[in-house]
Amino acid sequence: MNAKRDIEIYIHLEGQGEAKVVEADLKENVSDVLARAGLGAGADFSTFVGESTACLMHADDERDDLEDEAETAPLGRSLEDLGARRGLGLHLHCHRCRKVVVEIHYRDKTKRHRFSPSTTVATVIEWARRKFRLTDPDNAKLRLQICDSTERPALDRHLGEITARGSCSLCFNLVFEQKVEG
Amino acid sequence: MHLWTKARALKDSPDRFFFKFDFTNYPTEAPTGCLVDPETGELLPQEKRPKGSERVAIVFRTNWKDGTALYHPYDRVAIEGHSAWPTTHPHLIWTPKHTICDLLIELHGLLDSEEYTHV
Repeated sequence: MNAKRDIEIYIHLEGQGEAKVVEADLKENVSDVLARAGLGAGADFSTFVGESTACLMHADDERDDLEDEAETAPLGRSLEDLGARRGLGLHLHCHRCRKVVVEIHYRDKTKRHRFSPSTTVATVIEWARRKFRLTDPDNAKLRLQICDSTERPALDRHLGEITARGSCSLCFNLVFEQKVEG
Repeated sequence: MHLWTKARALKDSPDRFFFKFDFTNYPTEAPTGCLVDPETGELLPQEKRPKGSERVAIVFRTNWKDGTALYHPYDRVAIEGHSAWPTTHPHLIWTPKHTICDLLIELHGLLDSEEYTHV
């Protein structure tokens, strides 16, 4: 019988909605965990630890088309060195793209930014709200709708899970969630 | 089957609400569900139901089907009587690729929003 390991690792992969879950020891390094999960040694993709909110540092900057400063995880470091603790899960995001180029349209304006793939939809909406200077209380109902589609990804989805295979870009319209009426 | 979703912290209000779902022909068809009292398994009485404005007031209404279904396109009882919804709310139309998680995310979003104000 295998002894229970210290921690659960949630591995979010490019274009996939559900994370792959593996158990690991705190002293293991990232590349060994990825290899055990069947992801090679991480050579074909970049790996990010946790969820990125780096974009919010630039949200009030008037310049367009800036880039997140989020760094990739050093594969030789142990999970413990990267902040993992016994009993708490750790999320790893694996993506070919070091950044996802996002274009967001709101009315007659467009804003662009290069986000980390581990940025959630909710964080992108907050970035967009500040970038477009939207102060109305209805902003809690803001959603991202993928351009030329009716799909609105859930707030907790990460950009890396939404990109199509082979693409490092996304296009959204910023819309308001409407109440359902009969 | 009872499932629950967390609600935002409000004075004199529970931290979560429970739902009972009917998964007949799921996932080809959407489930249908209602708020329940987890201790009795019965429909949650009016004085314990989440109330508020806008979407919360609509989805958890009791003046439609006596609150035995959710007034939301993801509820198969609700979508039956609303032929306009695929046009007006195309992003909320159930397909076999949807799962109960999609509905729970919607419900959690409502109960975590400022539109939910009290029980």
